[in-house]
Amino acid sequence: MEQKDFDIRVVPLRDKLYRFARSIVGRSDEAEDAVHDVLERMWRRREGSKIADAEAFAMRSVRNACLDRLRRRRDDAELPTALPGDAGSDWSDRELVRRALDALPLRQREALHLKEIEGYPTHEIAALLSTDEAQVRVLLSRGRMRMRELLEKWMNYGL
Amino acid sequence: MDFDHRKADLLCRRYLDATASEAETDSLRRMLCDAPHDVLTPQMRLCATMLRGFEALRTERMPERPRRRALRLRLAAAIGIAAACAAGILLIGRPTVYGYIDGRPITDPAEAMAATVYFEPLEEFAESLELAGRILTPETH
Repeated sequence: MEQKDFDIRVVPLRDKLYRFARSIVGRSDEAEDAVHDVLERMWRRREGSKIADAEAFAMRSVRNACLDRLRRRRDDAELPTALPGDAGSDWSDRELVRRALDALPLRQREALHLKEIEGYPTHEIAALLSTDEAQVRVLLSRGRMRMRELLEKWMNYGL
Repeated sequence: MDFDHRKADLLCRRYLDATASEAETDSLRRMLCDAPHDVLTPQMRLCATMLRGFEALRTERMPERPRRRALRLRLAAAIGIAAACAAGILLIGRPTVYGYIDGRPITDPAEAMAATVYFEPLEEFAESLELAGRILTPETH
């Protein structure tokens, strides 16, 4: 991959990779580090490597980097159920949805992020998560149902 | 335009079940965003919040700031340089000590020279010391 090719195919993915990383690790600073690591690695190996789908490769690399970070943190089972404190009604939709997303189990969170935020088709999500389309639909459905429950709780009771 | 409750309700259920197509999800998004808040059922309001929240998250950008690791290295380098400068200033600024009298450092060369006068009488013993050294050291042939 030439430098120009790298600039065109990889650099514009930065924000998308960051959003995905943040969804997985739940922290902005760690997400930035994970994305920087992946971009740096891709830059170093740009010569001699022939990556057909740079986006899929980068997304998978970021996912692996984030999972490694979660394993190191030993909290990959589930992030703590996030409660938005005592001002539920003041929360923007964005923060409410982010918190609800963070409270989901990792697989559901990944599937929902790729579908709802990045707009990936189901078959691409299945490939990224190394699963099949039926399983992705199950993850999406369970994730949305759980998010609805959490949002209902927070919006109705302001927890 | 009248709000089609039945259609919106059906699309909400399909969306939550993950059986809605892309077109159906888009249609639901438009319906919920365009409708007045009071015509929506609680279920629809929750779906609307989810869809609006996801849309807002879609616009999130990676912050433009130097890498944290690089930042830490720069900080460490700055602290190191500052420490080296402080040590240098201390060393350069410290006066030369020519000797000590009663534990007090002598930094004035004239005072140090004056102090050496006290040791001049000891020169008388120099020859005796040299002789003693020769006698005590075995000769090697």
